[in-house]
Amino acid sequence: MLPPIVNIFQGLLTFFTMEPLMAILRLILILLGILLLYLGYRNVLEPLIMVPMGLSMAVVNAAIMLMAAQKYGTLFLDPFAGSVTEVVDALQIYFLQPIYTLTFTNGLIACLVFAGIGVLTDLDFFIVRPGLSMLLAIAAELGTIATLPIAYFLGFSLRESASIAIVGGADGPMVLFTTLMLARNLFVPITIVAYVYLSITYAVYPYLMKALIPRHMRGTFMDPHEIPSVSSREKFAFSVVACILLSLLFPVAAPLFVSFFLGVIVKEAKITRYQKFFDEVLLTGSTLFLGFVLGALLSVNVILDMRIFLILILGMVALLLSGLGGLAAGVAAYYLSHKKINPLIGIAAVSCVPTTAKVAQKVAQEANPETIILPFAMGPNVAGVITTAIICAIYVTLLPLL
Amino acid sequence: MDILQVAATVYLIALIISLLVAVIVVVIRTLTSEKKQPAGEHDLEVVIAASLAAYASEVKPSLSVEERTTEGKVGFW
Repeated sequence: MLPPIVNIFQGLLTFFTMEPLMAILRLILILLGILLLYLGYRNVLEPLIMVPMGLSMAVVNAAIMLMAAQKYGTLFLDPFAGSVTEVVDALQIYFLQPIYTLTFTNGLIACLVFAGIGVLTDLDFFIVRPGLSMLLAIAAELGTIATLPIAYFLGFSLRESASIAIVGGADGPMVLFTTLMLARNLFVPITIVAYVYLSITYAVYPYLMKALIPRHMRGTFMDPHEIPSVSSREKFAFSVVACILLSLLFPVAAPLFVSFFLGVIVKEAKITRYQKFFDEVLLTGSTLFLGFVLGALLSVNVILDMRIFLILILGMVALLLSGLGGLAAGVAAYYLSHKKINPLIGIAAVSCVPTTAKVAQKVAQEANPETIILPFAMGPNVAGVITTAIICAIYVTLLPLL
Repeated sequence: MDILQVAATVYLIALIISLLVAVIVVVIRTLTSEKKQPAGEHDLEVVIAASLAAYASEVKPSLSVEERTTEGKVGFW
């Protein structure tokens, strides 16, 4: 029997009144939140996402209390609010509900992040070597494709499998978008897995590169001065044409395409006010709320789907396969170019702008301090964003027809 | 259509669209490349500004930017 004083401290009280398994899981989630927070603080994982996510994940599980009808809940948000009445009620009760309802459930947050990425995207090498960039990128989509049948054979539906497979594209906004369109029921676990794993590319990909590519190949010298200059006019024209054409082909993914290319176009049109707004305000604010709301969704009473462990494994498989595909294409490019192309630019084609390009540069420089492959890696890196958006568009368009 | 066929179809469509994007880049680069354009097609303002600056700096390097531009404009035209 608990002393009456405990009733005042509802977060503690619910620890003792809920089922023991739930209480243990809740404690694990609090500790996991603190771990993510710490790893973000130490820059082991991406701090921009992990710090707000870890904090809200720990707090949302600490602050569980008894709500109306003796149900457990928090004052953060209710992702299960479905009917108009439920949503309107939720908007008045939960403090993160307006952000969740108005930016998550319609995919707006993904588009805002994508617009910010567009402003940061450098198209130079992609414009100079589009064929090489796109072929590397399509090879680095191996995980995005191969994970589809693997997940399906493990018991997920076709739509759920596609949502899990898109993790291999290593683009958070695309995962958000695809999952919202195809498998809203798995939105929380898949998105969490995607964002945690995108941070892990920092830690895992360097080992993959060192394990598979010999040192002399990793240190292949590429001279950035050999990249011809590309005018803003070319980049601007490409962005406009590609945006319209891709939207024409895949109207379902038009919000993603227009958001990304709007960012690129603003940059190439040198509209500095918008550039600053997209980069410093829009991208920063969207990333903060993305991390914070994702953490808040990781409440023990929300993630009861035990399939999350399978999704964890499949997410890792998808990213590893994409990395392997990119590296294999990089090695092929190395030999076909008579050893002039550093094979590590292949892994940059996995996308995750600009993380994988930075990781490739770091590993190349460890093997040869004089080599600078970052400008070359940005080509396949950008192509990776475009190919992932194309595959996302095909999944979202094709699968509902089957 | 079984799952492997679906995966293969998606990959094939993605490959075709990706190559199409690459072709678009090549076409745009060919059409907008400044090296291949005749001089008259260049951005006139940029050409004028560059010429003015070069001319003015040769004539009177000690002048301020405003003065150089004025001087250059006079000299150029």
